[in-house]
Amino acid sequence: METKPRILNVLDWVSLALFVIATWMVFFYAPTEAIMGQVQRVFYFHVATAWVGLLGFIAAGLAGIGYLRTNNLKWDNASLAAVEISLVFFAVAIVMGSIWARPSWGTYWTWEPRLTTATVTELIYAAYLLLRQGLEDPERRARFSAVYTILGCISVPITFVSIRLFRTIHPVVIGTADAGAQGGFSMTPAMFQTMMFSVVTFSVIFAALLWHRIRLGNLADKVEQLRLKLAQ
Amino acid sequence: MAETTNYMIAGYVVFTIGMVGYLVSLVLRARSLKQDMDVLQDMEKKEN
Repeated sequence: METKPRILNVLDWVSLALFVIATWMVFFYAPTEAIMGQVQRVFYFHVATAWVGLLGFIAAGLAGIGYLRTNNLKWDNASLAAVEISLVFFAVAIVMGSIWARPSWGTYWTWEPRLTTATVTELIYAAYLLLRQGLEDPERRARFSAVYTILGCISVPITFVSIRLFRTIHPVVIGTADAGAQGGFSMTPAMFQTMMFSVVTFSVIFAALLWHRIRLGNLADKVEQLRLKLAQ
Repeated sequence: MAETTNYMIAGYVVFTIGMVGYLVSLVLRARSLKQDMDVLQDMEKKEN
């Protein structure tokens, strides 16, 4: 692997520092919510991981556009990296939300609009990885994947606005919730600051992870090229 | 106020497993690829 760039080193340490501060804010700075109690603290990283998940899916779509415009496989590598990281973050967000829902809604799962659209989005991108495995030719794989990630992006705004468009029990963090929403709460300034800091922190962590994952993809390509060269 | 500490702990356990698991997978894949690269470069040198 190429020597790790100095700026990536800096990004790693900044990510770690921000993460430590965000964790401190979640557990010691933000007040305990009056009705839900301690489980409300799950909310901060739940929102931040969900944000990163959706951000990565959009980044993958943009990288897909980049590939279709240039035919440069580096865009395909970036797209794969974004999807892989987002799948992990979004899965964590879904499970954390489900754990929060148990004491708030009385059930771990219900097929309401936000949970349903989030699950569909996660499955769309899980299928993306399966699609890639089924295609051997790198150019063909990149072309199909690019189109797939661009179309897959449609699920991102649908997931985001689902709680604003449909009747749902999922609380709306910013804006007005449906009258049937359960588990919502009024954020104090400290809660809002903690949420926003967590979102920024996880965005920086995403950038660092994306860079690492792209470097890993580049190394995998080099190994594959060398293997093919030796096989000839 | 409801006693929901166990749910909070469960939430952050899931978070930790997800994040640490992914980081470990990145490290292991990088290590494995580096080993492959070293072996292949040795083979290339012997061929030349």
